[in-house]
Amino acid sequence: MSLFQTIIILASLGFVIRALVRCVKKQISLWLFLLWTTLWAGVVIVAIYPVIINRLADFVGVGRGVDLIIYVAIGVIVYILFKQQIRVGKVEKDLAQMVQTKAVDEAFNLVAKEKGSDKEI
Amino acid sequence: MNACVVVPAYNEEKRIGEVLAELVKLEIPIVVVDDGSSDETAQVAGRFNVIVARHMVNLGQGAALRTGTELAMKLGFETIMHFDADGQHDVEIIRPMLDALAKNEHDVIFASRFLGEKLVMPTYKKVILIAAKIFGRVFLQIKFTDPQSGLRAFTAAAYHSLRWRANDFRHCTEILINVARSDLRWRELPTIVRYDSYSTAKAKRPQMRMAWKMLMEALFR
Repeated sequence: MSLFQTIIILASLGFVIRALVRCVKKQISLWLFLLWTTLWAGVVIVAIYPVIINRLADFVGVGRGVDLIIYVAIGVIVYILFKQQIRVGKVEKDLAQMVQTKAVDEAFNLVAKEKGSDKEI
Repeated sequence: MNACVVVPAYNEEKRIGEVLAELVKLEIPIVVVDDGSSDETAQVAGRFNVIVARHMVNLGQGAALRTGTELAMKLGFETIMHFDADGQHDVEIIRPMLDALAKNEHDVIFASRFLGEKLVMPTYKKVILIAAKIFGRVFLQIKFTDPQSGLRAFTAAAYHSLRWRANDFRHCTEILINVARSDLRWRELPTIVRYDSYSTAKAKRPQMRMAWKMLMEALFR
């Protein structure tokens, strides 16, 4: 086994252990843990048997296995960024709505209270 | 006339006192929206006979104006005017704008820096605004003389048509687009905006980023 393969396997094992600890602490769901474990298991398998990725690259018509990995990785990253962007936008919108509603209600109630005490606005 | 002036303010403790001192002389109800300031803006505003609404966090001028406008409408005001807190706007324009609106011939009145006899502003600002005007005409199909007019008055009924979504400074252009695409009757009145070192420093906006965002919104909206 090469040094590169050893590093990949140890790093993957580290990521899975970390995910397991988070899952036990209920910081992440079981489904996310399983997804994460599957992902790193796939990385380990490809590291041990690189021929798999080369065959897959041949099958889909991409020249080299490493090219296929790069294309898939870019696709996944762009998709994650897109999803995150949507999520951040929604959170921002909800936050703005909450802050604005609170500001309007508080000021309105204050005015209503002062009107009750005959103070001119 | 049942009118209200909405003043959005973010970290304006140095200037808002002077602005409100002038505004209260007009004896028109005023709503100040403190947009999550970290200074004493709300406290300074609270010394005057005005209604103060506060955002817990800074959302941007567009959001502050939306809060102020919706509060004014909830309080029953039928005419809303937007006025900056940094002392750039001329208080003298408020009455003519509200009077023009009271004639019921228009739904929205904009103040334009380009209709006055003399365009008094820093050269860089003039260049940016002229470029923005051309940009607006070509890409957004808006034919207003002032592409970034922040001084405006409108009826509560018109608000539903011109309601803006942008929380930041893009609301200026978004309102112009919404008015241009609606059946609202609008008019521009000339005004002079005062530029001093304080307001110029405050008004430094990421112009290119704003222009890019507006272009993208115009194309994909």
